[in-house]
Amino acid sequence: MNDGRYSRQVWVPRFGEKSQDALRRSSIGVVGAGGVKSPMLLYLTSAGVGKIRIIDFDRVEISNLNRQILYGTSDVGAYKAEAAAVRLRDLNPEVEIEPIVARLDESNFNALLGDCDLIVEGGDSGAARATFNRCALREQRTYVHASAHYNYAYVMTVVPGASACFECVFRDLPSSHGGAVPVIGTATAVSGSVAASEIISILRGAGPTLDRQMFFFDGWTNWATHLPNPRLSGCPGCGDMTSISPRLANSDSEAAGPNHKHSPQDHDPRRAVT
Amino acid sequence: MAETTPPKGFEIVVRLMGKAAEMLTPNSTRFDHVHDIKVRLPENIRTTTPAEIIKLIADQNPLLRDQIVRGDGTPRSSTRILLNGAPPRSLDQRLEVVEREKGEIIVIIFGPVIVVVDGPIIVVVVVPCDG
Repeated sequence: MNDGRYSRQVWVPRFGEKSQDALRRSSIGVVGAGGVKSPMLLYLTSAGVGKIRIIDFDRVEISNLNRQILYGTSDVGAYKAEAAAVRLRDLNPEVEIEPIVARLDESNFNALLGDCDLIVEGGDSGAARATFNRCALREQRTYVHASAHYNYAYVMTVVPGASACFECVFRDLPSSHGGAVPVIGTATAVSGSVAASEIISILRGAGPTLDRQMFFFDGWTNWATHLPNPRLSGCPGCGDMTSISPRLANSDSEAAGPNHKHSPQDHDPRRAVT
Repeated sequence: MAETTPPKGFEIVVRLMGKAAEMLTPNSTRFDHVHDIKVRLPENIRTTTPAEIIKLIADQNPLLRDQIVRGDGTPRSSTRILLNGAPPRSLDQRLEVVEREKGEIIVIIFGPVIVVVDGPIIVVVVVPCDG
């Protein structure tokens, strides 16, 4: 048996060659390359996702290094997207890494993410994330949200019209929310790792697991659970959306319908999922 | 010496997680793994709801108020509550408050299955920060 780069995961019966091939044919767009996205990107790159586009306008700061494990001290001052690309290409040269130094907004959402099979939400403020949410809902794009704060981690998948969206959950954050983020590196690691697991599940065709519930981790007690995550009646973001066929990819989505459930044999990552 | 009147109403234990647990004692160094608080129920209360419990927490802990409820006292969309580790059917689900022999309080969920809530009620505030 060939003991190659991906052999240990291919040997997992429920994963196998078909999942590996699905990952290789997949592309993702990731907004932000900070604490949560660092482990997420490392795992997705090492797992062999075919193409990864990283969109980030920020530069590496010394205060990032307790958790943003993509970077080293010598990267301070460099653009995160570019420094991340160097690290990830070294980790796995088989993956196409495309760094883009830009701030995502409504005007460039489609240009930067339209051709990606799956997108990962990000932003440096609640407002930026809400804008991402509105764009994704408008374009009927499934996306993964992952975050960490203090010693807690949160991950959920938004399937437009079928699951709670960002504004269902975070519609009315306290005014005190914002500013520099107090966070422990291991909480970002849990969030990023769970997000990577969710993305792999979607890309290999097994479908999302966190579209109807939110993953929550408490790092003080090392306790994790699923929190209820209902759609909010009258949500300003998705309130008027009903059953649709959200798509992962911009191109040849094979709209399977909002109630379609993927079988383990169904490995087309560009299919609609709910 | 003036006599003190013992507070009326029963206490339930609420375990805070997420940002709620960090807001109640800001700027303090704590080494406890869990952050439990006691919340006193109104005297003679016989039924309540998860939303009412969240409002009671807010009313009795001003530092938490802005985090877990809106100005009108209703739970924020980012506030979650778990009973026995599981979510209630809704924030308006009617719960029965019962006094046990030892004076403790349990809450029974009305429904096809009766569940005794014998552990702390968990309240989590979720926030969207990418560290």
